[in-house]
Amino acid sequence: MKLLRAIVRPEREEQVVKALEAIGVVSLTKMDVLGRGQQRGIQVGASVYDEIPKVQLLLVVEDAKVAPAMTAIESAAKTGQPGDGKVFISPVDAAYTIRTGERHAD
Amino acid sequence: MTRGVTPELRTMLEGTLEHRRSAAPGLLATWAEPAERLIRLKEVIAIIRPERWHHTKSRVQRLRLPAFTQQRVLGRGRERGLRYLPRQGASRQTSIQYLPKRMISWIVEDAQVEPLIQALIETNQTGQLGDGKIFVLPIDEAVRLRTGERGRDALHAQVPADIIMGKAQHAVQATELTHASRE
Repeated sequence: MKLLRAIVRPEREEQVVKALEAIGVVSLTKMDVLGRGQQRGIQVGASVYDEIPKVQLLLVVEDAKVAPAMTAIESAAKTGQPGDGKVFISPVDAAYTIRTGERHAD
Repeated sequence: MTRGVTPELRTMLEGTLEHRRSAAPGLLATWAEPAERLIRLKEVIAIIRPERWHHTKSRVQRLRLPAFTQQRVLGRGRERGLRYLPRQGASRQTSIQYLPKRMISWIVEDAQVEPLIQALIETNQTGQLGDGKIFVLPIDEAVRLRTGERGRDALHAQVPADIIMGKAQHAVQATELTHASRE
C-alpha cells in the first residue's frame, strides 16, 4: 500500500476527485493548505503572494492502483502552468478499518 | 557511503523488523552508531469521528503518548459520504460528499504501535460506517529542534515536572498580564 499526498490547485480538486472515482479510488481525505513551490509564489504588480492556497488530498491505495491513480491525478490536475502541484508517494506498512478492527497489509 | 555501511547492511537496516532479525548478527557490530538507532520510528495516522477525539486523547495519554498532531479534515470512505433517501416530490437525491473528520498523527517507536492501535480501535469502534481508518507509516528520522536530538531521543525526554502542561510558562504569562493590567 502507498500513501499519495497530492497537492493540487483548489479549482482542479473536483476534477481530480472525479478522475480518481472513475478508476475506483473513492476514499480520500482532503484539507486546505497553503504552500509555494520553486517559483517562491507569485508576484502581481508590487504585491508578492508567497503562500498560495492549495488543496491537499490524502489517499491510501494498493500498490497496483498507484500507477492508474497517478495518471488520473496528472491528467486532471495538469494545466502546464507553474503551480499545478506535486504528488508525494510514501510506503504504508498497514491499514486498519476501525469499524471491524480488520488489518490490511500487502 | 558513510560510516562503512556495506550494501548488505544497508538493506538490512532499511528492511523490516523480521528481515533484520534474520540477518547475520555479526553485521550489526560494524554499524558505528549505538544499537538504539536500530529502533524504527513509525507514524500512526488515525482518521476518526470528531466527537470521539476527546475520549481518544485521554485514553492514549494513559499509554504515555502525550505528543500528537491533530487536524480538522474532510473525508469520505468507500461509501462516498452520506446520501439521504429522496423526499417525496424532491427532484433529486441530496447528499453530503465529504464528512468532517479529525486526523491525528503520532510518531512512536515500533513497540508502541500495537498498543496504540488497540487503544484507538477500542475507543473509536461504534460498528457503524464511518468509524475511520488507521495507517502505519515508516519514519526515517526525527529531530527535536530545541536540542538537535535525533531518532528516539527526539521523542522521549526527561521533562521537569514544572514544565508538564506548560505550567511554568502559564505562571509567567499570568504575572506579566497582571503587571500589564496595573499600568
